[in-house]
Amino acid sequence: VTPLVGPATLLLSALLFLTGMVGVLVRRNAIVLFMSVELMMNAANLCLVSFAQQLGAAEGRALVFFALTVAAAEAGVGLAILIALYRRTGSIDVDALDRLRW
Amino acid sequence: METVSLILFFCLAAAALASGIFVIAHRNPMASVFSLVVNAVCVAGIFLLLGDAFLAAIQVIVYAGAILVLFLFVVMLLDVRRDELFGAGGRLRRVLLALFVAALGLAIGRGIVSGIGPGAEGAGTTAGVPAFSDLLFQRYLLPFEVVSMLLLAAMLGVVVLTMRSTRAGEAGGEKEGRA
Repeated sequence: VTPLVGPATLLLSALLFLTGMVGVLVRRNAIVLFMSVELMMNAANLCLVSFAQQLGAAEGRALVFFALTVAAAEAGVGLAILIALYRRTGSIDVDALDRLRW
Repeated sequence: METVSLILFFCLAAAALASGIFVIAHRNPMASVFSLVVNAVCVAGIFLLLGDAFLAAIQVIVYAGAILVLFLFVVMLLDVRRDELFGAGGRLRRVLLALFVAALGLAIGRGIVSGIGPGAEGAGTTAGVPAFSDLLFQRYLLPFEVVSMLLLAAMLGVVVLTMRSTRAGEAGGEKEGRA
């Protein structure tokens, strides 16, 4: 791997994280919002792998392994909540979910 | 060899970024799911370029395989209509968004300007599966087991979450049938 790839990977992961964050802040469809969160987690994993490779530390890779597992669990539970929500309200527009607002 | 991997890296990075923007910018959620698949595969390719074949394989199997099939399934199940791109947020939300993005952009810019130190000696030597599994099954054995419990809990949680609402739906259907 060329030495330039490491910092460039960090830049890419920051840009991907930024993209996901804009998606979370801008979109109202809960599924797309959730996909943006996945995008951000992906970016964080990329950052971890890049640092692990640059610093020669295997701990970062173990962390990515755990993060992937947690992401899978999170996706399953989150999508189940979305389905329950849709059955209850008939919509997954997050702006419609303002019952807890005072 | 080095230039080849560099060119490959920039192609993959451009594809990952483009598909990421596509995820949040497309009106059709189905297209978003497919571009998220492309994004996950591109990131797996970058893992591979960084010398991490194992994590690349996991990334493809777990992300592009399992999680995104789940997303696809839910998008099809919920009959999501095409929605408008930007929510009907007020000016406050726009201002907050601009502030957030500007802050993160500033942080990234500072990080780039101050520079990231050169890789330490022995960079990339830990990329093999043996070092990784040593770490996983000795030092991180307890987190490994905890994660398995987490997966079990998530599985039970998903079943309970969807089962309860199914029962409610059935009860509602029975009531309607009787009425």
